[in-house]
Amino acid sequence: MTYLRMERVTKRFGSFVAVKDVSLEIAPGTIHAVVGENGAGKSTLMKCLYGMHAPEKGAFYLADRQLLIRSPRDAMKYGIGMVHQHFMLVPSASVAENVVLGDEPRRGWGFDGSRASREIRELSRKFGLEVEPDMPVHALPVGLQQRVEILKLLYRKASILIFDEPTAVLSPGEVDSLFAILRGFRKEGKTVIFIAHNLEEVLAISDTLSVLRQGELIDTVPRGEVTPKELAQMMVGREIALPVLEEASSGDGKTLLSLNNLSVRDDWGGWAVQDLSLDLQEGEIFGIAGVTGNGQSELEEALWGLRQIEKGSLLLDGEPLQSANPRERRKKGMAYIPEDRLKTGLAPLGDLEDNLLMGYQYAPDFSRRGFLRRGAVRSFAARILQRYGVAAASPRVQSGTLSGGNMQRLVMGRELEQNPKVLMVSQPTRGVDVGGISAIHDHLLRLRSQGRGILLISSSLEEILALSDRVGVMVKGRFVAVLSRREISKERIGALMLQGRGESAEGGTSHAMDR
Amino acid sequence: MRWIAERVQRHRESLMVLGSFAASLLVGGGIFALYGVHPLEAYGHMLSGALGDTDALVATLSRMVPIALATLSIAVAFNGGMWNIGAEGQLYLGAFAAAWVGLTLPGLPGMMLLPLGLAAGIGAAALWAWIPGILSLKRGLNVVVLTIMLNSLAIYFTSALATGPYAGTRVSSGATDRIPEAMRFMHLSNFSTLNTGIFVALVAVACMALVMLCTVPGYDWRICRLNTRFARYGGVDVVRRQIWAMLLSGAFAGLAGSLLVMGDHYRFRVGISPGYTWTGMILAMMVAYHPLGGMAAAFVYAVMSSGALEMELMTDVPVEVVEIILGTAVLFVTAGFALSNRWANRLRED
Repeated sequence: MTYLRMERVTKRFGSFVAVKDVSLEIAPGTIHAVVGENGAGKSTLMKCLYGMHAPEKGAFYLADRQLLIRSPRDAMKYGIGMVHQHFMLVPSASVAENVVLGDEPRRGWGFDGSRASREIRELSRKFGLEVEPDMPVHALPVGLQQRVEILKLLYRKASILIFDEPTAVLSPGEVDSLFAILRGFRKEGKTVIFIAHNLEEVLAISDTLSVLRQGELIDTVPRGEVTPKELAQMMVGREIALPVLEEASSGDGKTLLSLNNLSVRDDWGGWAVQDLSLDLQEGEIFGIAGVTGNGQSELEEALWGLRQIEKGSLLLDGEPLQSANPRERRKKGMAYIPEDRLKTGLAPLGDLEDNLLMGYQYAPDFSRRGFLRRGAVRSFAARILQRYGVAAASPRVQSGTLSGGNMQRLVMGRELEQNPKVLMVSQPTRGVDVGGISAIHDHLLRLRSQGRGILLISSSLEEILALSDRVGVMVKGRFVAVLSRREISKERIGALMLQGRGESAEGGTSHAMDR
Repeated sequence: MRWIAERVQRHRESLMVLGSFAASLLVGGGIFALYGVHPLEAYGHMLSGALGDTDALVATLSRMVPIALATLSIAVAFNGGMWNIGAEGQLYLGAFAAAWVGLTLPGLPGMMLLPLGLAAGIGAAALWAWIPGILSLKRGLNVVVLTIMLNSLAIYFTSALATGPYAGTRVSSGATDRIPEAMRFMHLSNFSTLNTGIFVALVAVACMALVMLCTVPGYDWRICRLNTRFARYGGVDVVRRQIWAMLLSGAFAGLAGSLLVMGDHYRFRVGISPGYTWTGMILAMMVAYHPLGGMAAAFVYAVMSSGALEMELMTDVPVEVVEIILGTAVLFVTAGFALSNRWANRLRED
């Protein structure tokens, strides 16, 4: 049965055709995934449906009635709602205030705050979206903020819910609870459109999949009839093999970086990392696995000198490093690809040259007696863009306008060109599509084969399994186990990651969900 | 086509500023029309009043000096991510310090008095900027609030000194006596206060522009403004860079104050600055803190405000229209940047 129909939708931006002649049918009460690489046109297509973009050609039909959508408000009227990748919330306002904003319940002339929180409480209970209506939004973790976004749609009685890469910002536990919520919607007869590029997730949750590539619809298939490999091929248009580490390092190489009983505090004065020790050897990738929020962010900040090391010592090549600032760390041969590209890894408002020069500006190749060598900077930037395949119109565009994958290539190129002895890399492929993942993994493996040491912090088990010589599983700031390549398996690490979760904040919320 | 598109992309900021300025001139033209004056005629009077002959040009340049220094003072701080709203207070303190040197050490030879006066003016203002700077960088206090408060403190403190212990004996109230002749910058014409201090200003501006545009500290400052956390991650010593941005900002405000005392008025007086740094703030923001752009904007402002007198004389349009035009230009620039960011976000495919 057809419910929502898109017919021959085309959307251009200038001379660039973002969506080309796409026709799509979506059945009611299903979870329909729209997959494709970064820039395949998934978001654009959905933004057309949601009234944020006006398509040049094409039409939308709901139960065979043509829809007139010129703005998100129009779309809402037809029961179509969208949860954006970047949340649109007022941080200082409460959950209930955020949800009702624009359609507030009134009492006389005034805003009826107690009715708002009552209604939100009922709504969240009905759909299993436990969240406290009177909490200010900025105090909530990302997973709960997303629920606020979802509640906004439910409050407006949306029957078609579009999710734009909802899992990109979530930890594995949060992903599980989101999926439980989505299945609940299906049971209620709501239709879910799910934009994604993570194949495992797509196959786990959706009933039907539509693949887009370079703005064109490649195919629409039921879930049972396609393997992950075929799906990846459809997305990329060629066969791709994700690189995997073939043989573990012997484990008797020289120690490059060593952490001895390191302890680090979190922002509130508690211990984020406690008594953590590890030795990173040359030619080795040491993976740190764990559910996000178990001290990984604090650990990487401390290792880079952005956060104080309270106890313990840190040695690079046997020399103490804990009091060195980031500039000295770079000089001594360390490089760092941070978890949060937009906040830490880039200046989104600066152009690509500004972003690529960072960390090199003091080197004699790029400045002489304090004066920058413009020509050198320009050719260096051009070289990185080319070598690491950063797709950008020119080196002068703002880095914040790049797609997630291209931003990551930019940061990666900048850090790898330093030719570091030790690379610390955190969540390298979060928000990056299949093609991008294989390129990034290739780079990491190449660095390893050159005898460098890599500290890989990732919440993606697949990534840890594919790349690590050894794995430390981090729970609440400590390693619960350090395993060699022979000992690791998905099940084993997964089980270790969940140890003691019941008491942690992360675990608490997701358990509430499971009930 | 492609070549043009690339140029536009590369110079988008300057184009936006120029376009906004042109648009605000059109708005100004509309206002002239409301007064029943032909816009071209009004602008014509403005131009001839500001640049028509040597005397007019000299008057315009004399107007430009403090504005230009104030603009650069703001540009240095803001470009480095330090929101120094206290340049006005720094200017006053610098001005008084320069006057104080002249009043307390009248016997010294010019060779010493002149540099001493400048150093005192610049130093006092820089120190006054250093206080909020260090408090915000080391202790996390809000620099905007601090600098605003320090403004009033400096302005009223110097007023009190100038009307109390240092009140002049041969002048109506609210001003000190004249500083000794040995430390004065010579006036260059009889019709305006343009003085040899302009050369000091010129050298200072040139050096600062060079540092901001071509050097590593200039790059670091820009990055600190764009994303402080990114700068720290990249290895920039953010505290050191930003405290220097603050010190230099204060120094330029102090230089503006010193030159007003040692070149224009030869004494400190209450209300010596009619809000030069506030105008400078508008101009600096209009050109997105570009030092040379700031100088161009200061020149245009000087032309418009100095020419406005003749315009008012000839057409009865009040001089305040200039402020309206300037305000509109800032509005357009701000709107322009916001719009272009929005377009950029639209084009981004995520």
